[in-house]
Amino acid sequence: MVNRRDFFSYMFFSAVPAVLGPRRLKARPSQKQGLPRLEYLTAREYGIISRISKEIIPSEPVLSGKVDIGLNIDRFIAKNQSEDFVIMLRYLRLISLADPLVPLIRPFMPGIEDDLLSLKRVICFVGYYGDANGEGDMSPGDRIIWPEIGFGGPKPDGWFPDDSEPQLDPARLPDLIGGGR
Amino acid sequence: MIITADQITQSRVLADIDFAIIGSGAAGGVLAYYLSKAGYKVVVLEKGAYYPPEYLGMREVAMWTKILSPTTFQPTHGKHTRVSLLMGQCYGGGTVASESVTWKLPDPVLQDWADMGLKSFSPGNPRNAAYHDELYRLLEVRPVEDKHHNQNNQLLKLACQREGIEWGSVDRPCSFCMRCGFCTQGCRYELKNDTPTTFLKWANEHGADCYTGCEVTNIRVNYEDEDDFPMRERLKARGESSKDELKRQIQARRKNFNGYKFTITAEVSDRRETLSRGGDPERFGLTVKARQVIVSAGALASPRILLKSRINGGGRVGKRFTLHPTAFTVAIFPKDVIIDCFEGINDTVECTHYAYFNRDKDYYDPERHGFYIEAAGSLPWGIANLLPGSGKDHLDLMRRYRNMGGMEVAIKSDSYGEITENEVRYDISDADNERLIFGNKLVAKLFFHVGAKVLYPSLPGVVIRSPHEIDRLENRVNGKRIGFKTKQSHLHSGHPFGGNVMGTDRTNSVVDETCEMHDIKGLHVCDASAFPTTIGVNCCLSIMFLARKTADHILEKIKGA
Repeated sequence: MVNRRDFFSYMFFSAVPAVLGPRRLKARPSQKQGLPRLEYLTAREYGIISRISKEIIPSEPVLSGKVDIGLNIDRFIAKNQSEDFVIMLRYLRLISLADPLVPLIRPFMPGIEDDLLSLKRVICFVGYYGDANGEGDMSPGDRIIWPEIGFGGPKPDGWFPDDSEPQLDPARLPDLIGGGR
Repeated sequence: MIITADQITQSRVLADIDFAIIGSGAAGGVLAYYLSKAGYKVVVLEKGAYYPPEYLGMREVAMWTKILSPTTFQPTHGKHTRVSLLMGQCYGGGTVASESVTWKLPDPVLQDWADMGLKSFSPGNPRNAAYHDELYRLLEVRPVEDKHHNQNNQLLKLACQREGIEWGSVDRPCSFCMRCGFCTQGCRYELKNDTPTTFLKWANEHGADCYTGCEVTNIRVNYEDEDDFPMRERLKARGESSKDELKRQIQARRKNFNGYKFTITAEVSDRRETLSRGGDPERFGLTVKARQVIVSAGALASPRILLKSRINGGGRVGKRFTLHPTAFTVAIFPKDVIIDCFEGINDTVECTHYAYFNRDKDYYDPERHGFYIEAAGSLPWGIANLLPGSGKDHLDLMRRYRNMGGMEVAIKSDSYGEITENEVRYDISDADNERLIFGNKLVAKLFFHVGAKVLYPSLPGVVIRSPHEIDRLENRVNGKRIGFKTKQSHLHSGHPFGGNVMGTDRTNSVVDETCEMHDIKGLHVCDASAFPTTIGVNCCLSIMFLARKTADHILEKIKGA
């Protein structure tokens, strides 16, 4: 038996995006003054991503505009067509519709804020931490995001592994439990 | 040869095909090799695209969109849980997109299947051991050397030693590995023995053709044979004279189609093509007339192909779907402890103490045990999603990437759901929830055995900062022990099973133990969708084992006929 909460939950996350987000997203990117030239996203989608990215990833490069997550995603999707991104953009539309309605929806779906946050995170992280940030094609010296977290990126041509992986020193890994079973 | 979509400029009809195999993953590749080697004309139809090795690897999200099926945003629908599904969809399927951890199908699972009446799976059957050994040899499977465990795997090994529980180095189909850390993005160095570098390559050498970018839209059964259901029942019920008449009619229909019992229709399109937004790639029709068909498209796609084709005898297709629900825990270590979980081979150590194959050990409790633990790292986008929160807190956590370790618990679920054309219905059982709680508590304990500072399990809002807080994994809400039975828990799985399960009784299974459909002879389903239960270990070799066994059955049947 489907209860009211399950019904609304199912409707919201399955039916609503299906109705509100056309499957093939026919819209073409429209150029707007003051925005970079877009190859895949519409100005509205670019605007939503830019807005939520400052909220999700308020790092200096994002806030200063040195890293433009919306533009990264635009360039990346244009080169990497995938059904995943069509679904992702449907959810982007859902985010923009649901955000102002959260207080109304919350009584039926207590997890709505977590779910929306989770979708926002997935989208923004693609354009920041994921290779959609373009840093895989940059020389290590030109990268901004990956060096900040200590990630070395793809292995360069001619790279060869050492004979052995670096070995941890057990003495520096204190047993906080002790004993055993 | 490999025929990519850009080589197709008009619709094609392929006649005189002995075996059409749908899917080029672990099962499809093995079947293509053994059947083409036996001299049969084999064609493989793969929905995903072909990516040559130089195109593969080292791009986390780009490769995710190319070699995995687009199910990341389409998790299972359950009353209590959602499980994200990871499935390969490219030439070579899941063998390209996985770490290729290799396990033989464990004897206790084989015994379970034999107890269900699938006698040929009995662990005592010497052919089963021979098939496993043959696959090990052909794939050059060997254990990962101790010195090649990365630091994340060393953590799991040391933690298990301190806890005093069973662990082991996993086997991999790789005689030499570059250990670049991008295994799941496809091996750029062509060193991982996935199906494109082994069985599919050999099948091509024996004359098999593989069409990529080829999505099967329908399998049509052109005529009913004497052994098909319900024809065989009708024949049984008839008197001798009318039986002969019916047989004559069958012969006449068979002749009309020149013995091609099946016609497959497919659409070929270039999935690598870069398109303007909203554009559809050009599609060409492909028609395949085949004597026998083997559906090996994986546990998500195979039931759907049959359902789309309206092949669903008795409504059994899609039923008894299950998987290995998996929960990840990220641990942060002190700043001077560098783990670099993204470097080296991801999953080379597993803790198998509570694995299902140890079910006869005296400590084993079937209500809570039945899982294994893998050391699991992740690339930046993946780890960012696994860490909680957003904003400055999340940025601070990401700056500790080099100090992070990861482990995941994969449980052998005893719960069954259903696949329909549009969704996957599945929920974990109460016992599965107990396994996840017990397994994740053990993971927390293991991390504290090696000095972890903070743990972030797959339960949002739950942070564990000391061994005293491990019980938080029970996730009590208003006194009720929820555990992982909440849609906010982050569960995922790359090991789906069932949907076209094997069995001896046509009223509750889709295929027999030779993977041939009970109702339609000559139509086989051979992949993880035929597994009647979960198996409790990484499944790549088990699927290959089933394919190897099925290839022999098919060839023996033809020889016998």
